[in-house]
Amino acid sequence: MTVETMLQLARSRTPADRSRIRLTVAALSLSGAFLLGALRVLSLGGGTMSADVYSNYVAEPGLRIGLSAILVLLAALTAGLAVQAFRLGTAARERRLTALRLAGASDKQVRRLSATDAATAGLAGGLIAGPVYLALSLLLGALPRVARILPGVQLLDLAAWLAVIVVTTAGGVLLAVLLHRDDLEPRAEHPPVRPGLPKLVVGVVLTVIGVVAAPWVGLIAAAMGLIGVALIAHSTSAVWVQAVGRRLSSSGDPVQLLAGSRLIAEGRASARLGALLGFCGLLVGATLNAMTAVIRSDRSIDDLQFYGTGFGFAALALLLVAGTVLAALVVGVADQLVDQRRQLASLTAFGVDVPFLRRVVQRQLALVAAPALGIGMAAGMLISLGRLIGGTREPYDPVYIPLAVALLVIGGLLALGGAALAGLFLRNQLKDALHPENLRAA
Amino acid sequence: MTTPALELTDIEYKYRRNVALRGVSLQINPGEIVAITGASGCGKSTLLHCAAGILTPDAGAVRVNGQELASLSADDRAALRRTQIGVVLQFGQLVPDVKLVDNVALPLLLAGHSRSEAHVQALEWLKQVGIEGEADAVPAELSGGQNQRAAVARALVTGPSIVLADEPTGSLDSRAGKELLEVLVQAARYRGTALVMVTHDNLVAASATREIRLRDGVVQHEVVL
Repeated sequence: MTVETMLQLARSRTPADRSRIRLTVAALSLSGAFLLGALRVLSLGGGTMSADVYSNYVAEPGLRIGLSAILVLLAALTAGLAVQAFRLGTAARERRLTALRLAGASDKQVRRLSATDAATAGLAGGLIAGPVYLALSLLLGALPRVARILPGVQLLDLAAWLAVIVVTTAGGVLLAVLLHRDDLEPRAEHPPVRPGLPKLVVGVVLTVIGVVAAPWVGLIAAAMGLIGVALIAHSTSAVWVQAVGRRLSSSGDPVQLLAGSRLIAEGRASARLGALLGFCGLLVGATLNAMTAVIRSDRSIDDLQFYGTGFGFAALALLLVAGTVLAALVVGVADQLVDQRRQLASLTAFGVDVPFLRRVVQRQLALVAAPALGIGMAAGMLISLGRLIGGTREPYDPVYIPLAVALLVIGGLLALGGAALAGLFLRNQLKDALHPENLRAA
Repeated sequence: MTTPALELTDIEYKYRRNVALRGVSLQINPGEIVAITGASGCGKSTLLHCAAGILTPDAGAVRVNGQELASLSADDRAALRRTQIGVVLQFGQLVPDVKLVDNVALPLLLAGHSRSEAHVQALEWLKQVGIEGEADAVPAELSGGQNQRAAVARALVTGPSIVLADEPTGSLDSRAGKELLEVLVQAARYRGTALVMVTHDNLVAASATREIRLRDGVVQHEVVL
């Protein structure tokens, strides 16, 4: 197979495929931009910079490490989203790969095509990361001093950009290799979602060790704690999606019945995105906890401004990631609509219309997003940022319990709002899915 | 005089510039089994979709048991379709992730029946079409013929006065097709339901009591078999 043929065959063709690649590239470019930011902050070394020009987060060497850790965390979250985005549209991709194998492509050739597809997305993500980082640093540079949390761009950033391009491209290839087994091995129509008890146990153990050891071991324990929380979020999300899907699919309400069966069918993707959303919620909750602690302490206006800026940016970035995760969920649902358009169109004969299907989709999204975001935010408020990243040894303050309850409700409501918005965004796809023309589609 | 189960008067329909139906009129009486035949692209499926109220004709009237579809609100039209019209397509009409019994019960659930009541009727119809043992399976676990049987059960579960079938045996081999046809015709006779089948298949056409042949969007001829 020539390179030209490989590139041509690897290129995305269907609308679902294009959505998948666009979302992957967008997530990778954000991830790359955050990584560039972290590298730039780290490249400043241990010297002090002018606090008249930059925010204290950049000017003071002691705070830089925390800033770069947050940027790396955001890069990891958006990279996680890129992985999930790349796995969307599995049914359509599998059909395409099967068709290629039927046409005579060997396993090796199919593997190369998958790798080319992912590497192209990685390359595009890395290339776009540079301009995104530039725009971000120009934007932040134009803000008041306290908000200038990225140092200005310099020529050496070009080398870092090249490194990021290599990392995202190689990441794409690695992702394709890791996912390749799923693409090639025949499997049941809907593989069961396994709750993964070992994963849950490991997650709980890591979280406990992380939280207990954080005041003494610092960032290593914090990283363990965060990995533990991510594992808990992933395994409980899978249990939740499976349980809710089963419960709803035995309902007498047709909206619940269809929403439940779709949750079971797409359980893996929903659980992964639910976990990411829960994790974002946890970090937002923990950041809000830290903001509350600062507000409640008797600090000067300057201090409040300093902490408020840092926490505000962190919460904003995390909400951005959460919004993008919700977008990935929406793309996944749009994928399902395209995939099942013939079946859905045939339901119009029984009076299924766009508002009905919108209710199914909204229910499906809300059931994953609302508990994930609500519980994540409440848990973050209860655990606190201090305990997650070390440094807090004070006894627990019960004032955070009612705040956690409030965040549980607010997170749930935000997700419900997101699901309602998603229903509006998907109106054309819903209309298309029910169009009688689909009855002629193979 | 008996009210026709389905009456189409001067139906016209076009897809952008392509005219699919040019003033088609026909009447289907209760309990009658009619085959609509013709070459590909002659407007058979479009006619069926207009009759089912899935497509709205550009001109002409569709009456189901004397009720003109155009005079009804969207909700009333949907309710009429749910209760009085059953639809069977060539393939791929069952919701893939839903158990067979729920797929068959779906029209009843959409009409507001309780789950237990809907399941009793769905199971009865699955038995009628010979696949009651597969009630808990999902469509992907079954053969094309079994899925089509379930589609027949779903079309009949609401007790419609007319069943519209678009190439019901088109995706099946000749043996499975023959078996499905027997099930469909028997089920329709069992309920006294009018049955309209769009088909290329001579075997299907031969099982009808009347054949209506379309050509270029008009009725070319009608034959009582």
